[in-house]
Amino acid sequence: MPSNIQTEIALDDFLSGAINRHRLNEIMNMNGVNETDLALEEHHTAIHVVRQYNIMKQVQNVHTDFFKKTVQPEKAPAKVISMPPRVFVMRIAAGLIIILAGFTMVQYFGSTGTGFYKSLHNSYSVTENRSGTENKSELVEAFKKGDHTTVISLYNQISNPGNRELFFAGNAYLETGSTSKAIELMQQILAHNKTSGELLYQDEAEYYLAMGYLKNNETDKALPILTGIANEPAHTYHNKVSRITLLKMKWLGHK
Amino acid sequence: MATNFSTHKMTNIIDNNLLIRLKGSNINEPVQELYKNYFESVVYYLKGQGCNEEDGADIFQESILVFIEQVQQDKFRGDSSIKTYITGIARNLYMNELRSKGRRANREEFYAKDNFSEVEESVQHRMYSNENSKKLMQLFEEIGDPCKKILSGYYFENMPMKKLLLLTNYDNEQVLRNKKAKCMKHLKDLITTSKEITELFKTYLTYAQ
Repeated sequence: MPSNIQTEIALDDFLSGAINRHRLNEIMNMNGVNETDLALEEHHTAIHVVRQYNIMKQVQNVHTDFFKKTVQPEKAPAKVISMPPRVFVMRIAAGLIIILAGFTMVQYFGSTGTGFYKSLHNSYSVTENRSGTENKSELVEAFKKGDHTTVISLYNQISNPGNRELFFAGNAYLETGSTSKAIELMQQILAHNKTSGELLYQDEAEYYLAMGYLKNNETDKALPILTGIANEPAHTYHNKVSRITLLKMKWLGHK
Repeated sequence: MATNFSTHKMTNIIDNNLLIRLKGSNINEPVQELYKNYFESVVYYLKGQGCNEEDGADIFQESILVFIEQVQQDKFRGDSSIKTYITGIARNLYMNELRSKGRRANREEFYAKDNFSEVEESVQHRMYSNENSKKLMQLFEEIGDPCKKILSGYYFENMPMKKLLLLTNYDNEQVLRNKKAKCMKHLKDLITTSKEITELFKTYLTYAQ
């Protein structure tokens, strides 16, 4: 079924009542679509999928939250311990010293790029594979199984990889320690999107490029990307980048 | 008597308010209310019919999805209370569950208790089964986050292109329109290649019309 921007707009216009069926038929015919009924049915189904997904997602979130709240065991009431005031104050002071020492150690040992990488990085997980070609499908399947060597091997056999293959191979390189190669592939995705105007794997590539930089101890390069993610609430990885971590990066001289 | 009347009136006002909110795009709060008010009693009812708690919770979730759709399509007319209605949906879903799993012993026990002469099998219930919900969600996830954002904004939240442009980082409306068309094409291709989803929706849309 051929589909282009004009036919898509015409289908939307027809469903919203902006144009009548006669005009829709005309536009479809002009664009080489002879089966308007089928095109309408497909369009209608796609819209339903969008709506159902959004409803299901919200209900699923409420369902999960509801269980988290109701299933969490109640905390046992704290024991009331009586002790002399001086001992009580000394214990609090000792506790504070331990917390402060712990915090300082965490700051010290976690202030490297790899430290930040460990605290921010989440391995990418794929839910389902419906790629077009056999090769692509194998690549994603291998990634799902955590077989990064095979992912890289399959990627190297593809002559003209798309964003998807670049992304999965980039992640496989990241997981296997070939960080520079991972950075290179994520950069390729972003460069491609910049020239084509597409956004496929845009958010993902930004995040994992930053992870690559952090793993490579290039915190100065990761910081502007992560700041951009933190400033964009609609970014897929917005919630994964905390302002506290960014502040820590800045405070500790990674500017 | 007067107290009963005013309580009934108040309940209706609250219910109507909930129904109105369920017709919007952000349904988080009304769904939370449905869980808070009816989860326990519906699952309790199902447990009384031999259902275990885990399945009962799943069935409740499916019931809520069916209920939302009934409300959005103005099929719930308020002839019965929300609680009764959702319990009815849950009961039918549980019957479908028993049939599909072939748990004959359980089914016979169920019939014996409630004397249902026939089980209503609805296409809607099939649509919202856990298995099919997962398939549909996975299919949509596959179009990628930018496309999800654009299509959800346009077709679910009914955002005008101008507003959608502000939420995305495209240069102008035309580029965004092109991207939307590409996303729809991608989604349609995925639906076409998934026979199960195509079949499911074909039956469902025929039923819904």
